[in-house]
Amino acid sequence: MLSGVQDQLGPLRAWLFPRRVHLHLEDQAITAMALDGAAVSWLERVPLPQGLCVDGQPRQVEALADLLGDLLVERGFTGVSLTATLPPAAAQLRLVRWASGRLPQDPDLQLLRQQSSLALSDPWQDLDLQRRDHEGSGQRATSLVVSAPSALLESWISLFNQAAVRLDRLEAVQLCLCRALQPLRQQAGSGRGLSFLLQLEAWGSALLVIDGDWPVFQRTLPSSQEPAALLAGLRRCWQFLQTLWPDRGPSPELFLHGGALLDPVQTDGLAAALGWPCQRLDAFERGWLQDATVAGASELGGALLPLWGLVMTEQRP
Amino acid sequence: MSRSVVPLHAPLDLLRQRRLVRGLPADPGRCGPARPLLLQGGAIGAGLVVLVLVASAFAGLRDRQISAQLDALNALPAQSQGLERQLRLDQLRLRRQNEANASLARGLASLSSGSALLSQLAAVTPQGVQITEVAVNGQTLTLKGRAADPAPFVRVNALSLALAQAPLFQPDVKVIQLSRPAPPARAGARPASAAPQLEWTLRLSLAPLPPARQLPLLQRLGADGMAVRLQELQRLGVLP
Repeated sequence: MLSGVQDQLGPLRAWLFPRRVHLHLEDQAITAMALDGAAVSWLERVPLPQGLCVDGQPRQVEALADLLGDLLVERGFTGVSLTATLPPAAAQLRLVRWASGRLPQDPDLQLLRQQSSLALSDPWQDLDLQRRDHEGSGQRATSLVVSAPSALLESWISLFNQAAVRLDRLEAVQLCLCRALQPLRQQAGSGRGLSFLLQLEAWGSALLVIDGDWPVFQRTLPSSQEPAALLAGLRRCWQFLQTLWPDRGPSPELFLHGGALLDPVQTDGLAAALGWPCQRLDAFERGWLQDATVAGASELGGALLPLWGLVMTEQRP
Repeated sequence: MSRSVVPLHAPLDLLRQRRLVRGLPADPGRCGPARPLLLQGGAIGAGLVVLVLVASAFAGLRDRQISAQLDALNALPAQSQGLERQLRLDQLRLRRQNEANASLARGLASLSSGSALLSQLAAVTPQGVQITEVAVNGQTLTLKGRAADPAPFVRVNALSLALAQAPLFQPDVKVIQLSRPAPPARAGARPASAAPQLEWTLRLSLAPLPPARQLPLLQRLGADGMAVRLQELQRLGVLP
């Protein structure tokens, strides 16, 4: 009878005290986090069976919805609202530097006319596009175009509907990483340098290169279990980018994060091998989040950079 | 897409276009943290509680006022009953007093004046008739006397008729006794002048006179005291 009453009270409590859960969606895992202020009240990384989500596209919507819905109910988060990061492969980012130096009168129309140069994977009409413009003094006007296939977005919307949760926001993970890294870049004074943001996971590594405030390059690299291959991949990327932008200094600044984040000694070894400045980004060590009450959360501190970038907009006054 | 120049790191929500396709607002609205909502709800709830407490206090105060008024009003029936009882007693006392006054007035008014009676008797007594005794018993008057010769019976009869017509008496005059006592036995001649006179006894009733007729009669008969008393009773309004 008590459980029945609690079941009845659950929706009322969710309505009176709306709670928000933040999800980092990847093909290999879902990382879920709930906050109470800056303190983490729930943090869990759930590995996904292979083939459930491929290239950011949920292949088995019902199975994934059941998994997510059951997880939230079991952890006591019935009827919550969600914000989520879209897996990196699901979103395409294009940085457009306008030839005239200024924003055109109708950027959407100009983008439509130049769609072939954007080299998007899907026809224009099958994509949802969001644009972020920047007109700095003395700089060329720039627009960042973020696109995702409409069908893919509908799949995720359907999945969350089936999981009986409300999806409030879905952002490309690259933008969340840029947002999370911005204060560090400002502190380091790396205004014109490139930042290599390297996500280290057991299944591989993902490199996101940030120029100024924008993501400009991304590449999948070998995992840290293959250090030689990883080092070689990083050096190749840097050489390639140097050919594009030779004025970006002698070396990039390397930021490490991810579920397989190196320990400080390994990080120093990597920095020494590359000859680049290198920083570990552990959300708990940096004091961005507090893990006092959640068992096992400290091991996931390195994997929280996307979620920290996602919640930063809500943490700021 | 729409033209927007917003902070570089503001959220770029990929659901925006999906919401617009469904006819929903582009921005779902910020889900605020629980603490401000709790504080806001708590403030509203506390306000309601305070409102209820104030209303309750006002109702209690009003209740006490009404109770006090009710207590004051509750005493009124008892006071009213007491006053009514007092009024009934006073009315009863007044009625008895009036009755007593009326009885006294009637008694005073009906009380025959001795002087008037004697004046009336003197006025109607014919010559040769002597009244030796007047006795009044209630409304009955008994007269005794002697009648001289000659014709003593005629004289008594004349007295009887005069009494019957007198306003102070009723015409029911009855002759109770007529007798001539035997002369004292003496040797020798009996002179005529020494013959015993006729003794008579009459009984009659006093006439109940209304005050209106009583007053001029008393004045005419010279019963001034009784007339003044009657006039005073009339002035006081206690005569029937």
